[in-house]
Amino acid sequence: MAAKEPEISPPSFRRLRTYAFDPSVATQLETAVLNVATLQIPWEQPGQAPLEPGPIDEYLEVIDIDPATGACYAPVDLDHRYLLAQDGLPPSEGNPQFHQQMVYAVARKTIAHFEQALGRVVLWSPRRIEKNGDPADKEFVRRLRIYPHALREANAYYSPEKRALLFGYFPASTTDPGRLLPGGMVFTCLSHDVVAHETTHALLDGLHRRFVEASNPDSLAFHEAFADIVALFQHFTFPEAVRHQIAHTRGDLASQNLLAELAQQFGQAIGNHGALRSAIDDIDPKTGRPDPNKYLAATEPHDRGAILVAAVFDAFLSIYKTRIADLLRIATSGSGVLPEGQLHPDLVNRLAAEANKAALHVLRMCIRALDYCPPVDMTFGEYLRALVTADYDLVPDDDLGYRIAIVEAFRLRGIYPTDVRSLSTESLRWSKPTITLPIQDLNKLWLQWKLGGNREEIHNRTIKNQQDVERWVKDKNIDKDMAKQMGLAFFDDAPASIERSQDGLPEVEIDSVRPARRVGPDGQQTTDLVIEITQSRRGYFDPQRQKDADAGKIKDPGDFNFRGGCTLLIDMETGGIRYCIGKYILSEKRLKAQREYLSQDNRETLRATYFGTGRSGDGAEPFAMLHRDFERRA
Amino acid sequence: MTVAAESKSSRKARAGAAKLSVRMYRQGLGDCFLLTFSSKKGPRYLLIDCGVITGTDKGKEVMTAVVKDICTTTRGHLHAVAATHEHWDHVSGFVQAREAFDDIKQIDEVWLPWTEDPIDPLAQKLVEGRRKAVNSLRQAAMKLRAAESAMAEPLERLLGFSGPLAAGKGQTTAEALEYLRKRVAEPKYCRPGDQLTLPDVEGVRIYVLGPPVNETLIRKSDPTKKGREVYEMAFAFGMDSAFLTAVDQLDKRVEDLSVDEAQKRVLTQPFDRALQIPKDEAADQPFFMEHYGRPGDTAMKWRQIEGDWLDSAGALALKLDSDTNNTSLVIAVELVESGQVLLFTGDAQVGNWESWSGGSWEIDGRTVKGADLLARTVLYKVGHHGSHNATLRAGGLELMASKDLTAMIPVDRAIAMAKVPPWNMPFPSLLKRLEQKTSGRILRLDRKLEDLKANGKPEGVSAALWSRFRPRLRGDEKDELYVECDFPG
Repeated sequence: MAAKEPEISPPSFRRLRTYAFDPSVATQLETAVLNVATLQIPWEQPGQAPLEPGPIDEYLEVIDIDPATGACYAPVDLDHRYLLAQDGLPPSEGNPQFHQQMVYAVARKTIAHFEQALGRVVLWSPRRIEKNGDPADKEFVRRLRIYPHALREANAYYSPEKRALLFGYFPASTTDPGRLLPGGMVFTCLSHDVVAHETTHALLDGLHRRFVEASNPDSLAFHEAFADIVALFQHFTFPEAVRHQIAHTRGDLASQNLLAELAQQFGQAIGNHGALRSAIDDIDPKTGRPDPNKYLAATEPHDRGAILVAAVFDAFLSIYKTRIADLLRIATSGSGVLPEGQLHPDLVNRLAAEANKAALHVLRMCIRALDYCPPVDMTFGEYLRALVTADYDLVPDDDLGYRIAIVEAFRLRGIYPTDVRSLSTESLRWSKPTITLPIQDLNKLWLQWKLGGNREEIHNRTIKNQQDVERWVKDKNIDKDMAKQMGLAFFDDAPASIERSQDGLPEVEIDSVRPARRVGPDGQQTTDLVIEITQSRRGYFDPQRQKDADAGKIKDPGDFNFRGGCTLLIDMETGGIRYCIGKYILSEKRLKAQREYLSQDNRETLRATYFGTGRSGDGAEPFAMLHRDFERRA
Repeated sequence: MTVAAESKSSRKARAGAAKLSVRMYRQGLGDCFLLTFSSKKGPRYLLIDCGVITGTDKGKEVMTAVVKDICTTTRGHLHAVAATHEHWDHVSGFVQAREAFDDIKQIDEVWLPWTEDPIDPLAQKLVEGRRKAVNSLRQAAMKLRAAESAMAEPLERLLGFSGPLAAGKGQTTAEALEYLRKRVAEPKYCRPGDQLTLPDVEGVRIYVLGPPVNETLIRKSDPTKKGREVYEMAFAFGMDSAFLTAVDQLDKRVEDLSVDEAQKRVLTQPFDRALQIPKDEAADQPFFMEHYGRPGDTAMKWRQIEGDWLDSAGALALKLDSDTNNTSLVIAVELVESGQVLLFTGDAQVGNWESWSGGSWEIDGRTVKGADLLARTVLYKVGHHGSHNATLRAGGLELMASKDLTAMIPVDRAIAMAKVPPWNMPFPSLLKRLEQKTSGRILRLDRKLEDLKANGKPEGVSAALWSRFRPRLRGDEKDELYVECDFPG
């Protein structure tokens, strides 16, 4: 039989053409060669849904509805044999089916980067359906929905309610459109950076549902910064673009270049005279360094986020420079000083390869750190600790100085945690807690959450894990003292303002139970168990009312949600708690800080005056609000 | 009769003492200020604005009472009326209380900002853009209301600045301004650097500071960081055209459009018509039925996006509101002898403030500097009911250095806070700074004189200071309609 019907194995990838950056890059002679990037999208895995017209696959569904126009656009069939033979449709602004292809390809590629970094398939934030009084059912959401032409405005956003990405289109400024056609149509779904950015918002929300809550000046800024970081480092996975820009900058990626800039066309279309944002920040000519006070002064989420992006990019540049130092010495007979003129193409290729490798490393570091974050109310300083710890767990021997580069770049921008004794990489690592927990009951948890496999089954088993852990917590496996160290208060003496479950005891919520892989001391890969436990407490702007609520005298819903809890990383081999990353629910200091933040800065915008702050609960789209806040930046 | 008689006698008593008095009417969230200047030939009257926010309970009655009082006080003769900008809370009285206004038999001059000048091309561009945007946004609001969107309520409230939502005859800001224009042979369209006069009034100079004759500054509305100004420019020029066209042509069939409208529709759509599957035909397409469903379909509704595109009307409405505020006529009244200045900024926002706070003009051979006027300011009429964005801090309030500074805030906090979401007016940190700068001499239209006696004296203000200030204040007999403050010069 085999001879008559030889077996053909499925390919690893489907190749799809997209704009490398966006259509504007193609209209300049100098960069026109960078017009197209061909992305390699993972072919569907066994047990996962096949690709259908839309495109619709296991993770995504592109539905092209345009309510402002009152029209729909026919779904593209990427399995059409003509399209299979030519890497999908050629890039075109006037063909809606190409738009569907591009938005699918970029989003799917972004998902792939996450899965590679985390070593497990990603899940979207489950849909929570409240049933009168019962804890919310968490319904599996198989696919993130993408609407490529949902809005008629210079905006694109992730809707946490709809589990959907909405992209807008708009005519470029008629008076100041940069290099674009005045009034010409600009599509946000044709910008690699905008698509990657919005997809990342959705991925981050799937992992950390509380990160969309603005509890401190860093929270929304982190969402924005992280989304930019992912978009930015994905630039370095386009070989032609990297080679071109390395030749163009003679290997110096610290100078202005396309790779370090975000959303070219969007920026020009709104009259920005260039990209929307750049990852290279201003250097004070006197000190030769970035301004460390900017971080304290910046309150707007994008401005503040830009500082984090600049810090990570700066760390990447240091790593890149370390990685190419030997190449430059070889190429210059040891002087390290490049001669005038163009670089040798071989050198360009080698430098590009190093830039690509360094970028992928940094991108994965940033994504992996998400497993080491506190579950709520994270600050940039805590993210720095997560980065350092996550990287230590994967690459214990930091011979290329990645961690030092990261710490240095953060420090130069005034970003550091306030609760460490020094900024050495050792003291920045989350410390090993002194608590021990009776975790033998947790051995039964299902931790086969890896790459590939049936995602719905993974979701169901994960939910069961969460219920098991919740029972484990409620079965008094944690005593009062341990609970306190973990940032929790779930005994009957807890303040009355802490949310109660039906039995009258303080409610705990298990937001996540997941495996995180790392490399053990013997070089063996092992798996840690990550558990996120959170609690909610009613917060009040008036300290006296807070006291009354704590004492049980006030029963109203409060002015805001104050959350606390911890992320536990447990070594499943030894049963030891490796890290306990706590945000104390009883911390008066943290409560006061959140109160001040919410009552002042957050309200001091026109939009907040008339449309509220977009905090969860007022029924508005948080990212739409954020992006529209007068600047409507994607 | 007795009220009139009393006010007549008090007027006489005042004429010697006060160079100028400023009366703030207490009609609700809105501006209405009557300035009385003394002159050898008797009092001269300037009215600045006359309006109350849409949705005010018994707005017509309230404004009629205000205008009747103005008529009685001035004995039917206003020497000048200034309307700062085309917002309902500043001009509604000109139509709401039209009959009462007709009783004011003589109006000598009408002062309007140059942005209302019918023969100035830039002014007309701004006016037309504004009216078009208001119409479109009202349609968007209706559509959002029909879609039960959470955006509907705040949008409607915000559009309230532009007049009642379902505007009938006699209910638009345009008609209000038109009424005023027709009361005189030729309104004065004021530009920065102009000087205004009132007949027989000596020792007083009235300067026009704003609005700036600069579109960029008019479009600049929020205290900003780098980059944002540029965006606001772009936002104003055409980028919203696709959105507005879609709203205007909502539910219209191609066949019913004029040639130009149809052309506009084509240009603002993302793709050629040949590539579009019309919405009603999509119902027959299995793909869309399976994955999107019919609009409103119970099981599918949570992910549908039928009304989401209309949400950006909110951002547009904010922009519209700010741009209109920035066309505010800004007047500084200088009492020459003492050098004291009374500052009326309308609802000017950042761009307007910045145009004059750091600027200077050559007037009659003298150099007049904005910063200098601010330094000598003894009355600041707080902009936009004390919202955070209509008082420039560093280059504005902080430059007001006079230890005699008094602030008048035309705000009713209860009304503002009853909006959805609550409008935080006056803005707490601004109010706090005003209290410090004025040593507590703040008059608000939601405070009666009686309230001032009871608890109006702020903590930390010396009794001596307060006892000097209090006699300068006056109210009507019932302590309901206005509060008035003397400025002896």
